[in-house]
Amino acid sequence: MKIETELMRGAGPMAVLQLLERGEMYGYELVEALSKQSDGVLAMGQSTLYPMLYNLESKKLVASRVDKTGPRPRKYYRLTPKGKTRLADGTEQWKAVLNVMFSLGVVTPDDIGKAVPKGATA
Amino acid sequence: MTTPALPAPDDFPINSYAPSSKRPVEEQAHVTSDDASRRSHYAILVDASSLPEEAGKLILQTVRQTRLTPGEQGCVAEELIAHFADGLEAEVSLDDLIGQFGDTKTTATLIRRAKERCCPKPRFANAAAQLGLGLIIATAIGSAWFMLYFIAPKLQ
Repeated sequence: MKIETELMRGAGPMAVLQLLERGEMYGYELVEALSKQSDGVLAMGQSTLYPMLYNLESKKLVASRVDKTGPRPRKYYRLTPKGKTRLADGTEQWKAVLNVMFSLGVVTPDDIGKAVPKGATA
Repeated sequence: MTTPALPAPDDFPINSYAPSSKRPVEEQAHVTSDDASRRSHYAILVDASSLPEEAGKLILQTVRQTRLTPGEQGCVAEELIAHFADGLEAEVSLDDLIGQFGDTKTTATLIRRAKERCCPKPRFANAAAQLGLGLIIATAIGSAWFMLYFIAPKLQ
């Protein structure tokens, strides 16, 4: 299932920030993690991911470093303190939205259970 | 990634150089120094990456369309090269990787906007410095011309 652009605009950066909370990651790692852990729902290509990462970097929510020790240079992204604050705020907002969706009957607890892909970690 | 050394072999004419990943990597690095100076830094990085030709073309097209500074273009190219190389290493097919890439023009525009947001001040300062330098040079040339053609003959 593909998510509409407007929804992705809000969910994409939050998902990236959440993944980076676990530790620094490089572009392809992020793409793979997003695709696997969202069962393809939040899968994004380079055309979405890299501009999004540069945007997050410009807002100082993530920082990057280039590692040149491997076979090819890799740019690793990590969460900044400002990014952690934004992630915490965003999480609260998503919870509020989800609660409203529950009370409106747009989603039910059963829907959430079905939507969580196998192997996804909380 | 380090840019390969660029020797100037006599057996490799400048005009015959064309980027192609079908040529072995050693041969791709076998570029004359004149040719290398004419090619942009990111194009040399792509050629040296040994990525398949289609992927290289896609990266070149995207990076060119960003119209960023040469340094920024190099950084973006390195990241995209690493992405494709990681994907191919993970045994994702080239067609899938290219399919996931999206439209090059849209990607380039989005990257440019994001990078401009990233560092607007240096960009503005750079443009202002270039304009200032241009004005100084124009004034100097104008003054010299005025001195040579109007003031110097009168003094004689």
